[in-house]
Amino acid sequence: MSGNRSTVGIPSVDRAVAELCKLPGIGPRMAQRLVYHILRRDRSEIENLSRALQDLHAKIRRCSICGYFSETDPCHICSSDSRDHCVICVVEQPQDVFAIERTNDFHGVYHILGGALSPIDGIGPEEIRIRSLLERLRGDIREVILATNPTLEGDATALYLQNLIRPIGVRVSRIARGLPTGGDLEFADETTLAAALSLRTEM
Amino acid sequence: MGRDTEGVEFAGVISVTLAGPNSKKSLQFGVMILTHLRLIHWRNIASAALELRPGLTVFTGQNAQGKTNILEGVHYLATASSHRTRRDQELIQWGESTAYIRGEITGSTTSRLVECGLEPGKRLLKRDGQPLARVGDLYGTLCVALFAPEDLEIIQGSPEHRRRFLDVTIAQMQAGYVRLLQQYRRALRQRNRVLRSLKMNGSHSEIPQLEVWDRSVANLGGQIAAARRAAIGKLGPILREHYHGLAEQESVEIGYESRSEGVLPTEIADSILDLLRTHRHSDVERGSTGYGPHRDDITITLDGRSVAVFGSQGQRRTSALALRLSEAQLLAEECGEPPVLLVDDVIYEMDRERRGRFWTRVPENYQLLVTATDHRELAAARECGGMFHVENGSIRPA
Ligand SMILES: Nc1ncnc2c1ncn2[C@@H]1O[C@H](COP(=O)(O)OP(=O)(O)O)[C@@H](O)[C@H]1O
Ligand SMILES: [Mg+2]
Ligand SMILES: [Zn+2]
Repeated sequence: MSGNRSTVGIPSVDRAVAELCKLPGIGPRMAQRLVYHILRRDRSEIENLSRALQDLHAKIRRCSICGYFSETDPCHICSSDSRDHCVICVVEQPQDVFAIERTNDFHGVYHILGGALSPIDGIGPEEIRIRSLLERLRGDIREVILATNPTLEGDATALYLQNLIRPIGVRVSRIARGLPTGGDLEFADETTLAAALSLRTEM
Repeated sequence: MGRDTEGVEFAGVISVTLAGPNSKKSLQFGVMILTHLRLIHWRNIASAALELRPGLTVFTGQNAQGKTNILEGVHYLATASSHRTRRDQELIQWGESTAYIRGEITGSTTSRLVECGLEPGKRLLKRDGQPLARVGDLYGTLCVALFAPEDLEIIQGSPEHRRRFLDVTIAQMQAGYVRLLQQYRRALRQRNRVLRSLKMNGSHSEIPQLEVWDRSVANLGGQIAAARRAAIGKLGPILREHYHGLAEQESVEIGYESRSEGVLPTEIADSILDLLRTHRHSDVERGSTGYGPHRDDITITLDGRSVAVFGSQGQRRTSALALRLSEAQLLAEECGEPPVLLVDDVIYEMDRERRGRFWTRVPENYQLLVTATDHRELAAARECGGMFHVENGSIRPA
């Protein structure tokens, strides 16, 4: 039923619509609107857009230290002098770094796990960047802040990490609740997130 | 596909403009009333639009005409689930690809609209025109207590029936309970997966992972068991009174049966954690979790003896009926507004005298939707606010 509604019979339009539909939050209708909008724009504008999209993959890589997106390696955060490299904030996804950076409240560095433990999805400790986090802890680290999502899996991952890190003798804290439970860190507003960070609790 | 495009488009996720809830009537009762019910391609009902009044509404008709299907629809609007099937697909009229139901509810202070569109493998729930992301968000909008022949299973069926009875009751009065159940089920699946890979690999490297999921299962399980124990505690005295009012003989008791102990969620969580750790080995062997609220049960006894084991057919029926009456009363007390009572056939399984007693136990201000093959006696028992005749899926005022 919905399959036919989203095609218009013009192959290049249908193909663009199909590609846009793969993006999160974009359904067939929105995709069609975007395509028609794009078609009305100047060719040069569209070329800028497509070049920008291509550059994402050509130029962006993962920081070899923290796993964040960057055009340089290490990333601008890991190579910054003005940040406290002894405090690591552990998050699930790169976009969580965007969210925390927006608060302007955190001056340490990050570690991106790339996910959370979820056995039913085949994600165990080996599938996320836990090993590289432990390696970083061999250095001079004062505190690890666990900022995984306040979901079932995010909480389990935080607990798992706490159990691993505590014996090493590094201080571990978990960002405070107050975040919408079951929600994604990425969507939390700045104030909530800032409060959660400052009220982090020892685990 | 459909002649009635309204519901079809809804299920296709196009929103439709709907007339605002009719709030003129029923306010004088100060209770929650289902004022309008719309059913499209629901079971054998191709299309029906019913206007309902406070008090008693009777659906008459021969067997297999669609009376229960109507009550099932109302129950679905309250709980997003059918009492007869777990497969939503069965609810869609044969030969059709979508079903749509809508209810307008007028409470003492507010009017609300609940809608549900079904397509194979897909469901859309809306309240006041807004799509609901989670099933749990629907609960509490329309509260119901359904009396159905299947209730006998609560008494004599598997523990799952009893847990479900209790869970649906709690879910209607406690926001967030459905979400808790879903989280718990997910935590169990996560833990069971680790158990199975532990069994396969036989290595101890996964123990730290298991410990993490032990904790999740225990914490969520503690909250569920605590809510259930609290609900049972409140149901006990109410149940005694209703059973006594219906039967006047034995004394009935209801209890929560669990290997975990404690009252507070944290106490029960600690107790569950203990059980999980102690019985880890057998859990690994079985590949599933042997302790927690998913294994708990409810016991119902008459004069100290299990109704399921020793009760006569009549005692079981009376127990089931008293249980539903108690549920209704608890919902009324906890939600501040009585639920809509859906009474399907059960009262005809009783003798005349007990039937009479049943009616005395249902407060006059409750809205009642009752099915009947013969309405005459009903009309004598209570003033009838509306009567519909149901024949082969078509419903018309009688
Ligand atoms: N998905 C469906 N589509 C069409 N008819 C159905 C569907 N499911 C059940 N039925 C029909 O509905 C009737 C049963 O309706 P029901 O409400 O249980 O009867 P009663 O009036 O006895 O309560 C049966 O005739 C059955 O064949
Ligand atoms: Mg029936
Ligand atoms: Zn970096």
